[in-house]
Amino acid sequence: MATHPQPRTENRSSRVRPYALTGGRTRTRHQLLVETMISVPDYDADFAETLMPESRAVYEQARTPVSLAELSASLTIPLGVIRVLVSDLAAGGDIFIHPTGHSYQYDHTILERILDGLNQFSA
Amino acid sequence: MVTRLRDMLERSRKSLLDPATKQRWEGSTRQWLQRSRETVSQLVGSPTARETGSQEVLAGVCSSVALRDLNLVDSLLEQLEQMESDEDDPDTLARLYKLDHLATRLRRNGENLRVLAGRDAGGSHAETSPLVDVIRAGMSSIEHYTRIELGKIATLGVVGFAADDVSRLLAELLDNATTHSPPNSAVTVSAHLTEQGSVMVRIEDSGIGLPAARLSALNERLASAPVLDRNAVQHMGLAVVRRLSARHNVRVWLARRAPHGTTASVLLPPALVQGTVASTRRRASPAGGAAADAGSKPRTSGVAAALQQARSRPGAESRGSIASGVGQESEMVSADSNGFPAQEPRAGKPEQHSTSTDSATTANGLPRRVPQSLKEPSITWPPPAPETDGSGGSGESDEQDQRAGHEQLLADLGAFAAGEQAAHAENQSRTDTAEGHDQ
Repeated sequence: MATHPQPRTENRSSRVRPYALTGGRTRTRHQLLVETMISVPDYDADFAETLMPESRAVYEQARTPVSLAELSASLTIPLGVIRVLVSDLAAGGDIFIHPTGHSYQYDHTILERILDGLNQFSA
Repeated sequence: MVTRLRDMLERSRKSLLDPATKQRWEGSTRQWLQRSRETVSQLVGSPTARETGSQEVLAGVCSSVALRDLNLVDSLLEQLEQMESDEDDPDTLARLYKLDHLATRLRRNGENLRVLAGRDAGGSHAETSPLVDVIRAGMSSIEHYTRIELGKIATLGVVGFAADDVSRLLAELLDNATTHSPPNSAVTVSAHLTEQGSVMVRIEDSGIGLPAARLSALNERLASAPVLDRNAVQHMGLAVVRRLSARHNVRVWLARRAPHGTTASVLLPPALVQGTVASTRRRASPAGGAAADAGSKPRTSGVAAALQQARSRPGAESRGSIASGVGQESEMVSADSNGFPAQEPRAGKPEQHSTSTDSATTANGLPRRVPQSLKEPSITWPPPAPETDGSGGSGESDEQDQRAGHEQLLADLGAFAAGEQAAHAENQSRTDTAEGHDQ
């Protein structure tokens, strides 16, 4: 055994863990690719006030159309977290997700969701 | 046989009667007695001295082992962070989150061990941490973190040397609140600036609550000096809270909450509070600060920022002197609406993020304090216990007025938090039903 343990190297890992930013969620309602563009249709200053710092930063930056990759890089927030935050904002209609070339046409998840929805109607 | 015995007796009698041998025997007996007395006194006589000695050694060993563990857990978390940021698949990411969560709880255990051993748990740094991040850091390290709901959190910061200790303290209280309330109920956290420049953090659960006797016993323990005794084994979290609160002059108390449940209140003294806005959550990554700044407008210089800061709160000094009088409700309101710089609506001005990061320090790089915290600490701090006093001298009517004002404030904050929570719950149920229709 070594004589003395190394003094603790501070702040190598963040104290606010990524799962705490999304409540542990990793799935999104929308298909969000790295290159997916988002924008804010109607910026609402009061609404921005109510957001958590990360969501708010996303909301502020998306006033001009921006891709998820850019957001993740400029805010240094992991893409997995950005996806969930964007999806939450989009669910409330506060952020618009621009359709990408292949994200809607013949997309399996979308088709499956439509099928699920139809099944629920008939059930 | 008999003759031999008689012979022996005779000999011993002779030797005892002989003055030379008598002296020799008595001397050595005295020595033996003395020595055994010393041994017994070491074993029995002064247990405290002996125990503190061995406790000190044990504490040293524990804290050293804990430090080794913490270094390992830190590198583990670093690796996990790397994997998480590279992971694209939601299911794998969810699994990584689980590992991350376990490692973070492991880190909390190690740090608590160091706190209990009376050592520094690590994490004092120069920058101010946003209050919301301090709370979320605590939240990250408890089991049922998903049940924590953040209410209104004042946009303030906690000074670097205390930030991690405050989140450790909050983690214990949050853990208590979640484990002692129904598994599907939320635990709400809110933080408000008081008129004295301190910050009151409230953790509210909706458990069955504690009987009055138990509540006062726990409050007594929380208020007394931190001692590691037998009870500390049962209330490990409470012992950690007590140590950390004593270290930073933080007041912690529990109270019943209407209609049921418990509220844990944490009063952070003005010395720990600073005005700051921007989140510095990702300071861990080397390029973090630079990249975050690149996203917004170029930084103004420190001097310009300081000037802007000074302009944005006119009459800070005069307000300070008003507020140093008797703490009345109306003054609290005026102090709030006058605009503590961090609470000003800064919507539509995203470029202010970069300047407000600077404002945590002065142009000379010294920590900037909130205006109210500049007051004479002896007048305003420490505030009285909410329910224990009433025994103050007759000449302290001023102080008592002030106490009454402070208690009024605490009660108002309670009412405000309750109202806010009710509104939030209503809002939540509305969106829930809306989402229900959605799907």
